[in-house]
Amino acid sequence: MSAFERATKDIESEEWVDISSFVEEACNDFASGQLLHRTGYNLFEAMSAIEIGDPKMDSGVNLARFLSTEERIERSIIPKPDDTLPNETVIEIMDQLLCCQATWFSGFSLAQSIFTCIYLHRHTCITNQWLLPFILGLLKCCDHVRTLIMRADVFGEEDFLGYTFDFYLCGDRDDDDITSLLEDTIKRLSEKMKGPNGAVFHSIRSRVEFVSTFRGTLMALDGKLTASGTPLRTPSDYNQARTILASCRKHLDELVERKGDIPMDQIFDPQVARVQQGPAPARVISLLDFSQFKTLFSSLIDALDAVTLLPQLKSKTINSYLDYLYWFSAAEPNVIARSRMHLCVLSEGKILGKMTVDETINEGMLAFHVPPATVKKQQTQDFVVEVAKVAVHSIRVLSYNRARQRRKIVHLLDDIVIIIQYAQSLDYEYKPPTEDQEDPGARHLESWVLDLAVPFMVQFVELGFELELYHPTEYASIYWYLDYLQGFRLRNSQYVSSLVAEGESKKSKGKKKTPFVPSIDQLYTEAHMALCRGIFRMIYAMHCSFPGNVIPYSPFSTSLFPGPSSDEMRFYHRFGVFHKLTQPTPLHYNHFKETTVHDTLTVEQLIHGATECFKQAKFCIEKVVAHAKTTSIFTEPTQTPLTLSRYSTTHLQSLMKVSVTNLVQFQLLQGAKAKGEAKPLGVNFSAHGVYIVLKN
Amino acid sequence: MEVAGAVTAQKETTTSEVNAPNIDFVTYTGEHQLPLIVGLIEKDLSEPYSVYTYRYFLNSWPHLCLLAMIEDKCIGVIISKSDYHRGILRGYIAMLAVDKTYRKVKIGTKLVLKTIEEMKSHHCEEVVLETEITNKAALGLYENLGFLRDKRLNRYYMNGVDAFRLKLML
Ligand SMILES: CC(C)(COP(=O)(O)OP(=O)(O)OC[C@H]1O[C@@H](n2cnc3c(N)ncnc32)[C@H](O)[C@@H]1OP(=O)(O)O)[C@@H](O)C(=O)NCCC(=O)NCCS
Repeated sequence: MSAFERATKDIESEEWVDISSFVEEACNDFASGQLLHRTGYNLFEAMSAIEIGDPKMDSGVNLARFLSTEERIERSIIPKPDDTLPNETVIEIMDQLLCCQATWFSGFSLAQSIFTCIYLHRHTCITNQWLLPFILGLLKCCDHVRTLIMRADVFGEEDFLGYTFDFYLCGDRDDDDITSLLEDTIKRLSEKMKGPNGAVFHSIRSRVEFVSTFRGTLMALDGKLTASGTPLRTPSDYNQARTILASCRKHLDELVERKGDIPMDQIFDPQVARVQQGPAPARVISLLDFSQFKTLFSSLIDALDAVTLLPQLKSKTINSYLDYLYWFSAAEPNVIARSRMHLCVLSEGKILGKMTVDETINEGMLAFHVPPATVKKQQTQDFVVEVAKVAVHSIRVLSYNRARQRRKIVHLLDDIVIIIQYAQSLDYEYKPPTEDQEDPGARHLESWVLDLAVPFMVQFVELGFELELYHPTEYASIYWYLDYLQGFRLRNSQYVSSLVAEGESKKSKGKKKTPFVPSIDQLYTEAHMALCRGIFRMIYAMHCSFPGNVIPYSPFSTSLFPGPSSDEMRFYHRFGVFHKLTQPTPLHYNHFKETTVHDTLTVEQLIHGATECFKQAKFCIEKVVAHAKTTSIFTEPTQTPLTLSRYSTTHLQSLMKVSVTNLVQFQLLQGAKAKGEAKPLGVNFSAHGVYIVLKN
Repeated sequence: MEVAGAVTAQKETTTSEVNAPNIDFVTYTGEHQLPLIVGLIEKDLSEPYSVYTYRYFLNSWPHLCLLAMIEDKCIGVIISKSDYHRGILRGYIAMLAVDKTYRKVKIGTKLVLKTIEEMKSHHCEEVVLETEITNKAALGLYENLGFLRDKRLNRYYMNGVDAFRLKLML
C-alpha cells in the first residue's frame, strides 16, 4: 500500500483525538522564543521544521477534504477508467501523463508530477484497453530511468529527484510481458485504424508507439535486447538502439496535442503531494506543457543519438573519448542522457565495455608520439595505472551538469597535480645518464599529461562565462589568462613536434630538414589563443579610446574595499585554483598588472595589435575549415544533431564570426573616431559563448 | 510625508554613505522585534521561512541582525551568521529586505556595510550569500560592494530558479 493509500484510508477509518489542550499545557512553561531541541540542531533542521497548523507549511491541514480515487469515481467526479472512457479523453490523459513525465525528468518530484494522476494510485482500477498498456509502459520507463540515473550517479538534487514515495512503478512486471502487451496493443490499434474513426486510433497508436520506442531505446542501450546482454560491445548493438531511437523521434514528431470534453483537474490533482509522507513541499508546481514536453524529449533524443555513435569513434585514445564527452556536455544534455553516456563510456570499468582504460591511455600516449619503448616500460605502465584513476574521475566530472562540473574540476585538479609530478619524475629517470644534469631531458610523459590536463583548466575558466559568473570588469583578466593557457597548450604541442622532428633528423642524417608545418590541432589552438589576445587588446584599446565607457577595463575598479591587496585577492579568487599546479606555471596578479601597464604602447599600437590577432585567428580558422571538410571523428559519414567535435562547421563558423565581426566593427569604430563621430559600443556574446564581439 | 521628504533629500546627496537623520540602525535585542522582522521579510518571499529559521539566526548571532528603524517602524533588516567553513571564519548573510517605499536610497547598502564591519571586527575572512540570478536589485547592490559571483547553483530555490553564490573576501 502506498503512502497515499494509507493516508486516504487512515483519515476515514482512524479514531482522532484532539491534543490541542495538551500541547498548550505543555507549552505553559516556555517563554516565547524558547525551543526544545537536541544537540546538533542546525540550520537545515531549522529550515525544514514546519509550523503545525500553518496551511502554507503543514501539508496535513484540511486533508480531511481530500477524496480518494474510489470516492471520486463513486461520486462521478472523475470517469471510470474503463472502456467507457471516450477516446478523446484517453488521448488527453496520455498527453497529460507525458507532460508529467517530462516534468519529472526535469527535476521535480514524482508526487508532484506523474502521481498527480489520481488513477495511478489505484492502478488496478484502470481497465481501459488503450490506457492501461500505455500507463504500464510509461511507468516501466520511469522505473528504468530511475535505475539508470541512480546507477550512473552523476546527478545532483537539482537534476533529479529519485524518491519514489512507494509509488507503483511496475517494478514487479516482467520486461517481456510489458513488451508483448505494447506490441499487441499497437497491432490492435493498427487494425482499428482501418475502420471508422481511424484518425483517433492513429493518435492513440502514435502515443503508445512513442512510449514503446522510448522504452525500447532505453532497453537497447542497457543491453537488454541483445543476445550478448550487458554491456553493449559491438557496433551493431549500438546500431540497434540507434534504429529504435530514430523511430522514437518519428513518433514524437507525429504527436499533436488533442483535448477531450472531460475536465482534467480532478483526474490530475496537485494536492496529491500533500498526502505523501516524504520530501514533497506543500506547494503546487507548474507542469511542463505539451510543447515543452516535445522540446525536452526532442533534445533528449538528440543527446541519446550521440550515445549510439560511440563505437563509431575513429580514435580509440582516452583523449578522444574525453574530447567527445567535452563536446557532448557542451550541448547541456538532460540528466538521463548524461547518465546513459557515462554508463556506456565506462561500462563495467572498461571503455565501451571493451578496452581497458589503461589501453586507451597507451593508445593516447602513442598517438602523442611518446616513444613506444617508453610506453612499454614497466614503470610507465605503473604510471598508467595512476593515470587511469584520474581518467575515470575526469569522465565522471564531464558527466555532471555544467554548474556542478565547474565545481568538480577544482577537485579533479588535485588529482592532476599528482600525475603531472609522476610524469615529470619518470621523464627525468628515463633521461640518458650522459646528458647534462641541468637538462630535464625529453619531457614526453609530462607533455602528454599536460595536453590532457590543460583543457580542464580552460574548461574551468570558460564555464564561468556560460554560468554568467564574470562581471564585465573582470573580462580583461579572464581573456588574459585564457590567452596564457591556450598559448601553453600550443607550445606544449609544438615542443612535442620538435621532439619528433629531432628524432627523425637523427634517423635520416644528411637529408634536408623538412620545414615545420603546424598540425591542424595546433592551428586550432592558435586560433583560440589569437582570439583571446585580440579581445584582451581590444578591451584595453577601447578603454584607452573611451575612458570609462564600453567595457570597464580595470577588473577591479568598482570595489568599495580598496584594501591594499583587494584587487589581488579577487584575481586570486578566480585563478587561485591553478596555483596547485607547477605546470603551467601559475600567473600572479603582478604579472597581469605588468602586462597591462602599456606605458610604452600607444592606442594606435594597441589597435594594430588587436587587429593583427583577429587576422591571425581568421587565417588559422580558414586553414582548419579547409581541413575539416575532409575529416570526421567518426568512421562513417554521420549526421549528428549535436555539435560533437571541434571540427564541426557550426562551431568553426562561430569562431570565424568572432574574428570577422570584431575586425570589421573595430575598424569602423576607429574610422569614426578619427572623424570625431564615434560613440562607444557595447559587447555581447551573440557569436560565441566565450568570446565577446563588438555590437553594431 | 515628512519621512518621504527626508528620503528624497537623502537621494540628492547621492553618496554611498547616506546618513538619514531620522533612520536609526539598531541591533537585534529580543523577541519583541521578531514580528517586525518577519513582517518585512515575508512581503518579498514566495516561500515563507518558519519561525524556527528566524530564531536560529537571531538567537545565536543577535549582533549580526540589524534593523533600520524610523521611530517604531522597521523599514529595513539584515540577518546573518558567522561560523567556520573549511577552517575559515565565514560570514553568511541570510536575509536582507528594505521596505518598498524606502528602496533605492542606499538603506540596503548601509545595512550590508554595517554588517560587514561587524563581521570584520569578529575576524571573518570572507562573506558569502546566495541570491536568485533574476534578483537584479540584490545583485547590483552586492556587486557594487565588490562581491564576486563565486558559483552558480542550479535550481537552488523551490521555484526552480538558479542562484548565484556571491562572495567577498575581506
Ligand atoms: C535588494 C534590496 C534589499 C535593495 O535595497 P535598497 O535599499 O533599495 O538598495 P540600495 O539603495 O542600497 O541599492 C544599491 C544598489 O543596488 C542596485 N539596485 C537596487 N535596487 C535596484 C533595482 N530595483 N534595479 C536594479 N538595481 C538595483 C543598484 O545598483 C543600487 O545602486 P545605485 O543606486 O547606485 O544604482 C531591496 O530591493 C529589497 O528589499 N528587495 C527584496 C528582498 C530581496 O530581494 N532581498 C535580497 C535577497 S538576497
